[in-house]
Amino acid sequence: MARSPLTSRVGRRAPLLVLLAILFVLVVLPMGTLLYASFVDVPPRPGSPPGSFTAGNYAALLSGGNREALLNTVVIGAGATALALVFGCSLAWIAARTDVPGRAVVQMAGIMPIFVSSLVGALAWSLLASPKQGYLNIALRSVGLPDFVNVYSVPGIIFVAGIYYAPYSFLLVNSALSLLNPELEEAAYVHGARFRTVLGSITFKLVTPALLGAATLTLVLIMENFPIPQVLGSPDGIHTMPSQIYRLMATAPSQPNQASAAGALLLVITAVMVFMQRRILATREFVTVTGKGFTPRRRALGRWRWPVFAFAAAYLLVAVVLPILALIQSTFRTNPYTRDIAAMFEPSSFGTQNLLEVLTSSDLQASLLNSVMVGSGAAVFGGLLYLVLGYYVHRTKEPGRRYLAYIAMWPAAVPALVIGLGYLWTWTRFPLIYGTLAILVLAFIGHLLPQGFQGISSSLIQVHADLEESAQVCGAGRIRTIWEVLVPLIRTGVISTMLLIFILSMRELSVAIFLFTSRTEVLSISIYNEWEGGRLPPVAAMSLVYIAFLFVLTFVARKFFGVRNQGL
Amino acid sequence: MEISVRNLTVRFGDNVAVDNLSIDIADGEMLVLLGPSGCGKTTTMRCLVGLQTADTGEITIGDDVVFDSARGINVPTNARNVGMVFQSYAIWPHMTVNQNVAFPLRMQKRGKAEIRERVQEALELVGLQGYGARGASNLSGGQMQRVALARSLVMRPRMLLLDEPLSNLDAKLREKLRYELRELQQSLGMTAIYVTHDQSEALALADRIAVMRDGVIEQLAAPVQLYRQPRTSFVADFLGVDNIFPAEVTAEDPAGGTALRLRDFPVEMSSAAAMPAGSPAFVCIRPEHVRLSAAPGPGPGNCLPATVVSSSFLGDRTRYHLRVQRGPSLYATVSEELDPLPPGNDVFACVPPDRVQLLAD
Repeated sequence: MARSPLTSRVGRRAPLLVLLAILFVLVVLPMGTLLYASFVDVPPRPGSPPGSFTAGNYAALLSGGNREALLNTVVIGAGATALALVFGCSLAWIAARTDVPGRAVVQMAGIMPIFVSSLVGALAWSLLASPKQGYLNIALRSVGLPDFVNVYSVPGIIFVAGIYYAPYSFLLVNSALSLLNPELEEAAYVHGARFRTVLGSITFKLVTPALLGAATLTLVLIMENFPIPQVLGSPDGIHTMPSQIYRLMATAPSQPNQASAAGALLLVITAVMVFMQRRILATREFVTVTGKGFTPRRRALGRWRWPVFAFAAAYLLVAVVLPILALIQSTFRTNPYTRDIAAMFEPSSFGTQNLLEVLTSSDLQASLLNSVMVGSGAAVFGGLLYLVLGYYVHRTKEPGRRYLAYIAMWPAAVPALVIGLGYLWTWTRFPLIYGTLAILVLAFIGHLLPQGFQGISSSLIQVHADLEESAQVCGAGRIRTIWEVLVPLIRTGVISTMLLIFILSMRELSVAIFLFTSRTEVLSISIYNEWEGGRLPPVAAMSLVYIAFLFVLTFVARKFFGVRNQGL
Repeated sequence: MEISVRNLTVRFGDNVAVDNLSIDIADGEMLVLLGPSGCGKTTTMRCLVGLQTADTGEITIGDDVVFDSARGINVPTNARNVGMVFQSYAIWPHMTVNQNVAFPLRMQKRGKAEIRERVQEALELVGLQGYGARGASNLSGGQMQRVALARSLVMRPRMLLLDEPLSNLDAKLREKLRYELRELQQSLGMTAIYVTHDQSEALALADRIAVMRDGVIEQLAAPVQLYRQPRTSFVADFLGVDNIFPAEVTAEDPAGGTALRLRDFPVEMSSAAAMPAGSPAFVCIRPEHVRLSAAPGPGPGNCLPATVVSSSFLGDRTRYHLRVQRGPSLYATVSEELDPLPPGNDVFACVPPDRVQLLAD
């Protein structure tokens, strides 16, 4: 009979220390270096002197362009969040609780804008509604109206951010509404309430936690969003914190320490909001929204059925159909100048040369390859890390596992652009990593830690610990138990999490914007650089390729691997 | 195989789940650990199989010390050869019934032919012959329970642990499987420990019952003895004594027996039990020992005037909720085939003094 002595203390602590060290490098170190850079007067580049401490970087945030950017961030954040909530919640209620015709279409309308990343959404809307040359303005002029729409404005940015961030509230509120026990509403009708009262004081009150969660999540995402204000704001000098950080870094003379201070401030703002969101969700968990499978009874809309459907269709048109039409229009035009609406349908001015040029260009192929490599690297190495982390947190009783779970959620509060900046300052001294694809892989693994860890955790939690314990009772050791029982049961979940990581890395621009070099451009960066260079038809063509790629990937992930995530 | 547990203590933070517990289990015995949730019964069982590491203590199975905190011995679960049926059955959903049952034998590195034969044998034993190729996720609760049992028996364990194995089944199946389980355990002569919070299950299955409370064994006895002579009011309550009242002994009868007064009500009773005058006690009366009559009976007896509050007809008996005049609620079950008395009726509730138990705790 085998007898093992109680395992020694050091041996038991070793995995914890290794995991803590990895998380330290991925999460704590970049943020620490960023903070350091924000308090000195010399950027932490290789060969530069250590510099002396100063609070001047923070003082500079309160004046001029920096202060305006802060103000814009708040205004755009609040406005776009309100718009996103209105769209997201009404679509969620329509899809979950009414007998709207074509419910599948409504469901699709709620999610699809996520496939069109905010970068492509912003680019397409600049094609649609830029002053003068925007297709919508051309159309308006053709019917004798003045130039009406201008997306290069604060309301324009609010509008575009609002429509592209609506899916997050849609997903959260939709799932809460689907899980709501319909008897709670029926009871209100029985006790004499009318439809409007039930909707206001029962239905939406019960999903308040989801609503508040969606609101704070959306606010954080919009405030940290970089592509939308960069594409739509910079032509007219409108900046938010993220685009201002980029401007401080990218325009000469660059002010990297001020940029770091701005990044730290943005980090503090988002961190406080994420913390508040967690507090709200922790204290207001209503037990009525259970995991039990109810068939929600649907509200008969009567004569409102088609108007309600039209609302959903209009949203789909604005968020998906028009932008894609604009990209197609721009891609297939031989002459970039469009005189009037008739010219948009003039067969002679169309050709496939833009698309062919883009498809055959070695730059696009190189950046697509880079994207796939970075995405795969993040998915495989990140997936393994999240798996080990999840196992340690959920399947051992070691002390310290709570700290790991806690630190793993930190990046959720860190803006993507700020992560990139932190990694830049941390790794710029290590030429073996910096300037290669490895730095991008590392940054994505760190940035996507919360999603990856949660994805793996949820599949681990679904496997009842009894299943593994009974294998041990039957004579299997720990490794054997993992291999024969745990792995087969969580395989699908792990693969779908890896796929999620792959897609989210493919979609990401902001993390990479400070970390790429000319040899390590990923697809999103190539599109952005082409846009900055001012050549719109190739931008449109590449965007089409990009979203087609994302769409296929996401479809495969959802259809065949059951990927269901707030971000997908 | 004999099992011996010595001075077992398990702490969860400041909370002591199992408190210096010692118990010996004879070869072939079925011991039931009975108690409310949180009493430490499941934790004790998990220590035996090695899924929980105790802080201190010693566990011996046969001649084999599997755990000894003083000597640093802790045989891992997979080397203990102890069978266990989980409350959730823990049937692996990605395997067939055959694969589930064959698993322990594969771990023991048995030959293919032997595995096939013994799996077949085990499935027959639990009445599941012909189910081997089924996917485990397509089984009913009762079938899963049988697979779990077969999986534990096939490894020929040194003892069998059962953690509320019947609690997820409906009432009828639960009763049927209860008897099957008992017969199987007795015919195999298997040492077994059964954890439950259901007193009727405990009484039906056990050779001995250990009633647990706050990590200690409150009473360890054979079912009949436990039922007739609970040591404390906690044990009595747990074994279905519905009428428990704090009282005080007012006088001790030299002929044997005592006179008492309830502490919270001006009600006097007498008991056949002996106890010195002035001592506090708990009066325990089983509902089936209360007799209802229209007039106070002749001779000695506690006949208390009472009013029927409600009655429920249960088929083989009728259960009454009575209110004793200026006294407490009293529950009675009457098995005579009479029409239930309607609420509001005045009756006399009579309890013979030898049915009035006095417990110090």
